[in-house]
Amino acid sequence: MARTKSNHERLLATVETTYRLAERGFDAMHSAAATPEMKARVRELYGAARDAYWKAVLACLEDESGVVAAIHDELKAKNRELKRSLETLRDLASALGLLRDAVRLAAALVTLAAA
Amino acid sequence: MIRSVRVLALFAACAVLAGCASSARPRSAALASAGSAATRVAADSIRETAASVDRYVEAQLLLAPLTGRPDPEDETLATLRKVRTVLAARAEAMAELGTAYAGLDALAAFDAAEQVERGVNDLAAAVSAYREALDQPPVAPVPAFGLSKGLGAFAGARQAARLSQASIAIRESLERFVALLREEREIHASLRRALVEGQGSAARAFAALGLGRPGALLAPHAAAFGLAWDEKEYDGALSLLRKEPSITGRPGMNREDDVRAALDRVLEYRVARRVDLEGALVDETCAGLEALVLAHRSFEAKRETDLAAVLEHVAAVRALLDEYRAAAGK
Repeated sequence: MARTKSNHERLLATVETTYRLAERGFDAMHSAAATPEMKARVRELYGAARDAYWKAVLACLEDESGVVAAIHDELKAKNRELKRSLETLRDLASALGLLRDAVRLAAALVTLAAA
Repeated sequence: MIRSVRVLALFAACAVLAGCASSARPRSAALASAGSAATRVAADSIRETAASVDRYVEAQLLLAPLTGRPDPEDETLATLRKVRTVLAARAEAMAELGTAYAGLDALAAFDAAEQVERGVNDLAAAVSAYREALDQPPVAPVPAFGLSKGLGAFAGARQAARLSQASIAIRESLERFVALLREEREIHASLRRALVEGQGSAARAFAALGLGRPGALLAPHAAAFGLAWDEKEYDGALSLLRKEPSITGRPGMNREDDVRAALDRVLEYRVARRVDLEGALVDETCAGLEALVLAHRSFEAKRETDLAAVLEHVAAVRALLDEYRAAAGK
């Protein structure tokens, strides 16, 4: 847990938000998924969000590069959209699409920002 | 005449030295007592987190077959083991801090030099081990602490000087420890939130499956207005509720489903409340230890040692821990 860089906390908090949204929304999404494929998709995305978070806890994240900063901003925006979508879960396909985007961004952030 | 002035001056010096020692002893005893109290609550708070790591892992393993969540990857489990190692090192440093304060108290009470020397050296080693567990770059080793042997001809003055030396040594380790804690503050709060969220999901899954009995959760609501919660009635009541249609009017749902939905909302609230408390707990713990550093500095400068701030933070951490445990139904 070597973290001497000040940006780590901000980046970790955003990856944490993705994981917690996936955690909170999992049961509703899983029971709303009509097909085994969709259920498998929910499980897969949840697992990826959780793994990205725990990888981030031990990493030393830094957003000095413009690419990382842009991904971070995009992930924050995606988290906000995902939160709104999960509140009602009117459209599961759209919620899953948002979760997929957020998880991809979180995984990219952890990989690219790790020093 | 000259001789009597010399004798008077000597008596005056003795009185000053004796006064210095007599005020240093109770002040250092009070400092040791406040330090022990701050250490105890901080250790309690850290223990809660350390226990949470294991509960989180178990919750993930339980959730997989119960809810369809995937099992955690090996890499995630390895990360959690690492987190547990860091927390154990932190808890060890807190335990050694408590021992060092016991040594300071013994030094004030009966000049127990060896006990405080051992306590201070073990504390410095535990803080270094904590730093190592965090993978922080190594720093120069802390030289072994030993109290000076010849600090004045008067026993009282010598003890006052030794108390000050011990305070400096404890404070220096405490400062190193607090700096590491501060650096880890956000990460610590984040992982505590994640751990609580994961455990909360498991509790909610149990409730949804009808596996957790909600007596402890509902009884205070009934008791608040004079009703007695009767656990024996619960199963019979549920059987009756199962025959009633749900208040939501949803097809296939009954009143038992309504009870489960209500319980889930309370559990969701409790998880959210505990998540909120995590950050406050970490902040108050750090603030209490920082106030302790300031109290040491005042003591060493022979100024009024204000322990009120330390004790206020101790009380705040205790209150947060109580609320935290209440939210967990402990």
